Amino acid sequence: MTIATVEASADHGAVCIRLCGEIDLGNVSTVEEQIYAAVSGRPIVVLVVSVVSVDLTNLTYIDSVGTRLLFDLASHLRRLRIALKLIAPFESPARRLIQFSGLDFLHANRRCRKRRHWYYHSYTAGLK
Amino acid sequence: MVRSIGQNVFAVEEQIRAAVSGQRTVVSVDLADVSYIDSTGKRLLFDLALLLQESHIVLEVIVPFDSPIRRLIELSGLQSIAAVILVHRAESSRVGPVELVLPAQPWALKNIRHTLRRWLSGVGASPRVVDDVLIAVGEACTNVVDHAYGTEGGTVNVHVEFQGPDVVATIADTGQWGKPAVGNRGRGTLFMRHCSDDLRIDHGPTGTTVVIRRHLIEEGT
Repeated sequence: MTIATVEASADHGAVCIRLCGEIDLGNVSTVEEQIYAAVSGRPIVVLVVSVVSVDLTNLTYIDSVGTRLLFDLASHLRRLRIALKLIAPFESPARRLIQFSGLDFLHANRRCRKRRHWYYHSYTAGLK
Repeated sequence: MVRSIGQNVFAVEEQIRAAVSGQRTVVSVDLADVSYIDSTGKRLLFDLALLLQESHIVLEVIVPFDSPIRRLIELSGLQSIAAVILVHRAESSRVGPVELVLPAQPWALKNIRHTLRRWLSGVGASPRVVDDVLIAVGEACTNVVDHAYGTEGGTVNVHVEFQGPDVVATIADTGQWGKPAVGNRGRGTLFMRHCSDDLRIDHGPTGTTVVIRRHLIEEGT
């Protein structure tokens, strides 16, 4: 089976999810379950969550199945008035696929240089 | 090393089972030096594939294109439960084509990527080209898994080779696509176009063939 790990942490109204490994048709439902559990499995925290960030830096494979998961998550969070921030380095497959999909409902949020040699670009869906 | 599988089937089986222990996800059986295999050997491979399947381990069977047992393996139907990989013999200096036949199941996608990564690193492809080929082929194979066959299932055939300066991947199935591409799959086709230099999709009465062409060297670099 395709292997991906979902690490989640919560801090001051923000839930950070780090995805590592590969996402395809073989494991997308498992990954989806884990992400939704991380987002909504905190009944007290969820009331004050204003942003969910998903770090795609260590994702070695993603395709339309995985990007669909991200877009579904964006609309789900939008209904809850929670912003989604995607973190994907330049030239990473995840970032290129997000760009190919069109950024209709993803607003380029900010550009920052977090680590040496690595540029991150994040998008916030929904809430401005 | 085993050169033929027939009378010695029990000994071979015992050795293979002994080698398969611990946490593994793929077990590769290289039949490059096997020149003869009969029905007992064939059954051994089937039993092994089924046994491994119970533990979510995939059996990879590697057979050279020019192997005398290639046709027998192809006709055996082993590709409905195992990953059959046809390769060129290692001694040829040029990197030859590779062909995979796998069950059209979600778990097979990972094995296809694994073989493609190995092949692409062997031809010196850049990380960008590797990503592009993996995504384009991955989308085509996902379509086959998702749409080509009904409940009875089928196989997906992936052939990768060099044609001039290009990597050419051909993904074929023998199914009838139920629904036209919509939503998620529409994006899949979009990604295939972006990740390839040329894309051809041919829906025929006997199945669908997708041909993906990608320059090995990026233009302007």
